[in-house]
Amino acid sequence: MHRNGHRHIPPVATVHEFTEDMVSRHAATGPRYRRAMLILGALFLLGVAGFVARALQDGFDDRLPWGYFAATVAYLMTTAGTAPLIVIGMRAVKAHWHRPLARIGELYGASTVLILAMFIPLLFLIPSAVNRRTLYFQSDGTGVPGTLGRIPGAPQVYDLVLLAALVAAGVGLLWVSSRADRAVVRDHKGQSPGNWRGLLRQWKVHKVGLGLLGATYFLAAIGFISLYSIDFSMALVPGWRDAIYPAFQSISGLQGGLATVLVTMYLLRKYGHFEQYIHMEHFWAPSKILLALCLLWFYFGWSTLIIYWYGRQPVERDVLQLLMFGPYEWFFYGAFLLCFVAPFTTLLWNSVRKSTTGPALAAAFILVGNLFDKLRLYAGSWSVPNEQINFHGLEGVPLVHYPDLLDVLMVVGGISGALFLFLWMARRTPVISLWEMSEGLRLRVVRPFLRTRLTVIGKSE
Amino acid sequence: MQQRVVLPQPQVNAELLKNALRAPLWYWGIMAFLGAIVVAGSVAVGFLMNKGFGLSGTNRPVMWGILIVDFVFWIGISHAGVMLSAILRLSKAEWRRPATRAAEVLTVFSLMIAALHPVVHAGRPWRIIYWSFPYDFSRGLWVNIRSPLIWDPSAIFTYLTGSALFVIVALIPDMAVIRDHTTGLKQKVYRALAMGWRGTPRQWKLQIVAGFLLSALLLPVFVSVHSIVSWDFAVMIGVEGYHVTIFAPYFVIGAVHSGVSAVVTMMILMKWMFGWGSYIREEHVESLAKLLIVIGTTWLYFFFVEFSFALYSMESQEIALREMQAFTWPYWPLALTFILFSYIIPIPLWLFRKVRRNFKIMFWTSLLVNIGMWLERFLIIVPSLARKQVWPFDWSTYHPSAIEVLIVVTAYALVFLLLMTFAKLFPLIPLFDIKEGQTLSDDIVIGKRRVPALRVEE
Repeated sequence: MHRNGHRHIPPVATVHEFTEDMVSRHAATGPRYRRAMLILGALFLLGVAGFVARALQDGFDDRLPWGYFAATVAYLMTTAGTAPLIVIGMRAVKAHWHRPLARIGELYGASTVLILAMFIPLLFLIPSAVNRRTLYFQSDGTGVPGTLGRIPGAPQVYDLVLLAALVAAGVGLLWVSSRADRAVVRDHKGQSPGNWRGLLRQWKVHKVGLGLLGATYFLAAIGFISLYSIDFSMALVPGWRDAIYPAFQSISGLQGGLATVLVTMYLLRKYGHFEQYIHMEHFWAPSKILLALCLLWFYFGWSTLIIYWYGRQPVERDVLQLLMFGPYEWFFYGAFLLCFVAPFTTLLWNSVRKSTTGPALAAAFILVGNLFDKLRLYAGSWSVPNEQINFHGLEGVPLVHYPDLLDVLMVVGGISGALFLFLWMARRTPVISLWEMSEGLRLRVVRPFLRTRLTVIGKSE
Repeated sequence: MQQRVVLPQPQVNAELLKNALRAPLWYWGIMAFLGAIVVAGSVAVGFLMNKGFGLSGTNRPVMWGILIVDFVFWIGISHAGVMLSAILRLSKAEWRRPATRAAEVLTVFSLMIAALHPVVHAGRPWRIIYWSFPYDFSRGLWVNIRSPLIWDPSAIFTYLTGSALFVIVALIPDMAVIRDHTTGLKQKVYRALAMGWRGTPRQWKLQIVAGFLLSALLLPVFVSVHSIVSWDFAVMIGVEGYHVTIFAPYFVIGAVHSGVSAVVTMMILMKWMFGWGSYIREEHVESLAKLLIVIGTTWLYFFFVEFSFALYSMESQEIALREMQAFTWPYWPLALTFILFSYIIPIPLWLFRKVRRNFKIMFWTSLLVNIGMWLERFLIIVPSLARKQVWPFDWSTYHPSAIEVLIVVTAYALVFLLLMTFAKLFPLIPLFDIKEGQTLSDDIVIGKRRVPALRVEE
């Protein structure tokens, strides 16, 4: 809104102007960009060094030293790994504001490769599902009624297959979605445009491909987050039986994914100078969803707490003690404050939502809070001694396991690795989707209406 | 592709107010039929109170029968109003317009009927007063405010008040239209109900702001209502299958699944009964069906997790309960019907565009969902109580009595009767919303194609 009361409608560039501008930006790499890549690359290498040192120092027999590493995998999965979900969802409901943030989300799909690489060592650290509580409800045939008997490879094989499907869908989604844009870039460079000619048939295949890969990614992501949260934290703590936990982690993933996209979009707008294409409305609309996700985060967490609180069985009290009010209480309070209280009170106000800084700030809170949340869940559950794995409940709450230098290196290195991959992929494909923005520009006009001017947005289907 | 129909405003008024101004003969026939059922049901309730609750099929250990199942079911149906109206209004989904009023009214009536069930179930309803309110200040006796059974009434009445306000606020402009189309006593009544509405810019602004505020305020209330109903069960540790952390969101998503399906059924009925083909079009039902695919699949995820975690416990009693629910007579046919009707039949069918745009198939499949969801509530509540005790000699089952069945049937008839009465007094499709939708519609020409478009404020 202008000071004189008239609404401000952002200037509309033509498709040609937009394409020319984007291609020229894509061709150039600024010193700040190169510096960022260098720093992130170095931190990633330090993380790798930390991992190697941890493997040499502690091996893969004891779970305790790897708790923070497992938390990092969970964190990356529920931030970078879920960023494409936001795009897939918004594309499915044809929300016109998703266009500038679509490619940002898709680029994070490439980080699933790093998640897979980090996940493989973890497979050696968890025991098989035999004769303990797991989602695969199997026994060793000792007479527990209703169990199915041994399921080969559980849980490792199933988690790995699901993550492999996620990686294939994530990389495939990025490749299919950016195909048309890469052809445009090659055209402008005077290179051969490859197989892409922009034929009607190619566009149809492109659309179907995006739909199928999007659906696969969605199912694989929710499935993997659910399985990972059960197999790599809950099933390791005797007495922790919380049916809402996988759904809670999925909601946390959606919240983290949207927060990742918003923070990246803010940085891109501010430091990449994309003000012309990323407007307030592109923060305003997702900020409402972020607000709803904050409420859902609280609701799912509360649903666990109230049932355990009312149950007051010794096993339930021990689990609450381990994960919320005991050794990791400060992580829990931090997560509660930053995943719910701070973003909720920030986004509650329309004037804050209707800005570029407000939603980005709330998203930044969430990204930090999500890290605290994963640290308390995974460091906590990985600190339970292996001997207790098939007990009915915890035999005493384990003491807090503080991170050492190697843990810090692995956490920072993992996060830096995902960001490095994002920047690296952003050099290979335009960071704002050319075809989707062009489509949006064609479907948007500003027309007079009564005594004002309104934006008219076409809904093609 | 949208089949947009732009009609002149007098025609919109005439068509949507047709039933309110002059009801056809068949309308009175339906009212008489429903009225007869309601009278029979009322007699049954009176008889039950007079003779005692022993006439119902409930007995130790199954003390919660189909009246409680129906209570949970109607609370679920009531989630349709806010889901459609508030969420779609906040997200500015255009296709919400013909569905909102019916959904909101369904919310109010289903909540009223839901609240009646525990009252009847109490056997001696007057005792509810001292169960729910502090009754002896001098001795310091208070009700147990830590019990979800005490939270239930406050949540339900808060939701009922909010939903009723929501309906009234949205009705005001339409009351003014009826006021301008009637004479005599009718006009006086509608004039009072229209509360001085003149359609000034200030009034419109206030009406829109009130609508948005109520939408935002009702959303947490709507989630809390069914969560609290779920906690009636989940906070108990003595009943196998009840003490589950996922119950609250599982109940809420199930409620939304059944509520939105009920709206689809109702919209199609409205189209057939009142001839509103220009307003309730294939694109509206198709959009609702797409929404239902997402909601239904999310519900399936929760169902799967809830069921799996019973097996995850590795506790023989809990596993035996699930075996009984799924494989033992008389529950297994109910379980099979429930899963077939709630998901396996309707959702795969709705994946096909032709099906989503077919009113007859959508009517029957949306009806199936609600049959399935009613059975789901039955399977949650009754089998767990049947195996409540550890010792097999204390196990029992439950068969509803004829009086209980009649009361449940009456509940359906009463909701339908109230809806039909509402349709006689007020338009079931909001006039102003339809007109606003037509005013905001536009189109854009791209190449040789004319694309439907929407004027938006940014």
